[in-house]
Amino acid sequence: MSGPLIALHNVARRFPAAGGKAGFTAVQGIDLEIEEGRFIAVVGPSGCGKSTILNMIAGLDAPSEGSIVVAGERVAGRLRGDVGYLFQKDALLPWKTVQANVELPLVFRGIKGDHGRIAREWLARVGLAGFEGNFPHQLSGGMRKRVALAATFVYGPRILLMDEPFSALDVQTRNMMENELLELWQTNGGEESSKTVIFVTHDLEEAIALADEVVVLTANPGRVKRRFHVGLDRPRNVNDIRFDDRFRLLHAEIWEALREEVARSYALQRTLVHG
Amino acid sequence: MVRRGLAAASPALVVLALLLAWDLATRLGLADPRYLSRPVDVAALVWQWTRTGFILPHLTTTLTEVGLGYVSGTLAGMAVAFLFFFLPRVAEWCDPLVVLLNAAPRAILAPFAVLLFGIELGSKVALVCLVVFTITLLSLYTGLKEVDRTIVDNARVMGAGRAALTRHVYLPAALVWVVSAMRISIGQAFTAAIVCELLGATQGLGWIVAAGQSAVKPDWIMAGLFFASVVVLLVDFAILAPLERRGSHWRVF
Repeated sequence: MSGPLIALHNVARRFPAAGGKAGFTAVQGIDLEIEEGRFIAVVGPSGCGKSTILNMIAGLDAPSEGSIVVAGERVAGRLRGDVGYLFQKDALLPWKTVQANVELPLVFRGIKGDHGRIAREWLARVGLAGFEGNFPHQLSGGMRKRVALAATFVYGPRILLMDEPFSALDVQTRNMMENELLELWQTNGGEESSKTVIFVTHDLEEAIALADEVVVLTANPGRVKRRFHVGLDRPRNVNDIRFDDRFRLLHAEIWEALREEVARSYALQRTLVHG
Repeated sequence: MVRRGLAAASPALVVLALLLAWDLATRLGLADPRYLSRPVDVAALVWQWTRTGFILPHLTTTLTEVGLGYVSGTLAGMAVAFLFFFLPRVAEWCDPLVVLLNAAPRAILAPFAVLLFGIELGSKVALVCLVVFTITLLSLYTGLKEVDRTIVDNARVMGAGRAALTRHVYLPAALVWVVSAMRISIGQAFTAAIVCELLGATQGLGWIVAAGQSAVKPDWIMAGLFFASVVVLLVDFAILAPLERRGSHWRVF
């Protein structure tokens, strides 16, 4: 395909004042183009509208200004069929078993075939064979994230949006999940072209370890400040790559850009809190 | 061991103490047994009604009224709660009506129900239905608005339309609210039926209480009260509590 898979042009999202809350501009003047098959990490200080960008690309939210085009079609608050979304919070249905949770997108999409078998295969692939009959609350946080991964990969979305999916996990579990995500992404469940991933995080190390490219956003309202190419070899191991010299150089360089924004965001929040 | 046994028995001891105080009060002349009766007399009457089967048609009558009103009220409340939820505009229009319905002491509508639907089954079912409808509607509507946004968004991204969302997300999430509303409303449902029976009935627990009052037989009132309480407790214990446990087994306790 020629041209980028995802293109945001001059995108702004404003939340009007309502119910005693002041109006709020989450993002403004966002220009971002993403080629198919790339793994993009988006970093920025808290409150810079990272999640808002993902919501708009997914079609859960619509921009107040500008345009978002995905695969040649304009997205304006309408859900696309080829998007997977991993949320920061748990989004599994607590009243359904692990197996039923993974089968659900197949049911929703009316996908033909043996749902039970397909779901079991994906559960085995994320290391959860034997847990099919459990309910989400019986699993650890890391295991629930694996279920969510399986439930997303199971319907083969072309685009994968991830909103700080591992931020609630402890460091060890988190590194394991990051490695598993990379492996899933690279092997891609046997599909032809690899998925395009937009991974939002506030953790710069995670961003560099995972992505082909790191996009740094400014403090509120969020804009694209700079983009950094991550030329580290794949396949990667997130535990080892942190000791790579190129990783450390890159980290220093990107942190230079990010630090300013974090400081600004902090100052902004202080003025908000202290009037 | 002794202490733990005592702790377990204390609630029963409190009841026993109250009964004893009641009995003593009537014996010492502090209260007139002609108007208050005595625990022993009430117990004897309860036993007699049970043995002779006198209570049976009255129990069946009240249970039928409550059962019909309860089920129809719950279903209607669910339907309207979902309607309000999916059509917020309609909810806005009806808001004053719902507030009024909730604020009004609904038992006061009993005379109206009797006028409109007569002294047979109809008036009681209508009042019970109204009471249960209101509780279910309010509880479920609030519950639906509180269904976790992330879960809904996730299901939508995965391809769920409105029908699939209702079936797989909203209904199961709402079930907890419906059952808790049912537990709250069961007592009020019986109150509504009995108040309605007090005003005009040919049978039922309320009729017994009313008959006890007009014939100055306080033991009839007390025995009627006893049967009503036991039935409410039994329904809650045998049907609603297990239903709530079953419906929320996935919850973390």
